[in-house]
Amino acid sequence: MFDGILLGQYVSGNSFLYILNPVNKILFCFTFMVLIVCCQSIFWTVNLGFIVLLLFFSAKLPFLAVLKGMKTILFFLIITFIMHIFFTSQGQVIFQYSKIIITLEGLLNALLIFFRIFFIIMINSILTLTTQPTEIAWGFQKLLYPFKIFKFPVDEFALMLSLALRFIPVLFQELGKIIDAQKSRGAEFDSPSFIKKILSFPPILIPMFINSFFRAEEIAMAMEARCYSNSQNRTHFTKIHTGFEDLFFVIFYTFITLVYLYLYYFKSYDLSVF
Amino acid sequence: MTQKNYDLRKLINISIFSVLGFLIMFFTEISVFPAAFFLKYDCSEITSLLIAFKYGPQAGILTVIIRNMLFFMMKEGGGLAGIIASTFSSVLFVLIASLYYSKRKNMNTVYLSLFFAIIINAAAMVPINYSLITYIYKIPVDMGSTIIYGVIPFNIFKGILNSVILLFVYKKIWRFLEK
Repeated sequence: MFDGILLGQYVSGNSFLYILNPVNKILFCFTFMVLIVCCQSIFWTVNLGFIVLLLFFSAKLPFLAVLKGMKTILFFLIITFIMHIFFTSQGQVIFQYSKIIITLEGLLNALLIFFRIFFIIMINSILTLTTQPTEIAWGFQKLLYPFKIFKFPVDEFALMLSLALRFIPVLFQELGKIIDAQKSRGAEFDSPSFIKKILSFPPILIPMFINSFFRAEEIAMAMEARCYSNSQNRTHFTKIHTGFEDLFFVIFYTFITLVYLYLYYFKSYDLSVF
Repeated sequence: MTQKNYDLRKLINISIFSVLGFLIMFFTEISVFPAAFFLKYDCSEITSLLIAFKYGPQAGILTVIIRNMLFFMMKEGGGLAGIIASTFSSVLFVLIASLYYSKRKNMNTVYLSLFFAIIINAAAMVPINYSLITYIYKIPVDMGSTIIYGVIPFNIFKGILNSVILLFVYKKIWRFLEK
């Protein structure tokens, strides 16, 4: 059930995307995703995607990893594509064979959705392939600081996130052990039936939860024994620097965002015009 | 047990249970039907519900957020839209289910609040799913509304299944929750 699965997607390397500040990369991802989702014309979506591809390949990232990630939604992508092509009845007809009508608008819509989903996944991968989970957590922590005004527990949240990242492999191992233990008692986990699959959850969950309460108690004691208190500002073991490349990167994507905002508001265009 | 002591345990329990939720989500995600890949069932909601029952709604919501952040960082593909929709759905469910329970702790309130959580969650997910489907995936509106008819039963089914497993688990481990 759990064989051959690697958590995380970080691929080591030393191109410029690796040196950038995680905060910067997260902001880049958000802005580009919003831009791509808002973009209603194929031409400009592909243009934006081209920039993403350029970044991707100039950083020498593995393209195969992205394709592997797309496997899960491939079926949906194909269905949407077919639905758009065959079920859009408005617009200029470009192909007709008895009852099958393909219109220009349907084709353009199908292509637009395909490119949109593809490039969103590419942007996601730029962040997750070049940044370690701990660094992403650090970035999110920095980005969440403004929410302190609303009494959001930012420092506690950061502690929880880093603890969680640390505990993924430990709890993963424990989960494997519990599953093996239940299997040796005759439990069935690989049944194809949906009901049997659901029924197999509680025998894993209950020991897991009870173990977790005990483990939390132990960790709390260990932390208190080392005089942990969350009243002071915390320092970090590794320092993440911000350099000139960050400045260039910010200028780069701010410029593109401004160009697109200009296009949205001052140039009205629709699908058929490109 | 002093107040500070209690807070630290709360923090650690939240992080451990969000990891558990993440692991459950990672390994047991089942697509109910493949044509709509965003309709996935997993029972990771239980971990956040347990934390919400133990420490109150705020802790439950934090568990959901951390779980989904881990999922965003660790699992490839899918994109942000699905994560945001999932966060909305889970936060709503956990909030409604635990709000009343945190005031009055007995078995009847558990049943009642789970019932309301299922109904309100199913109703609220319609506009969220609808806007996601028609805006991001640009599925034509008439087609989109047929898909919506699938979303409501799916969400009710998901809520019921989660509640049943939760009640089953809750009865076994309530002693640890009350501690």
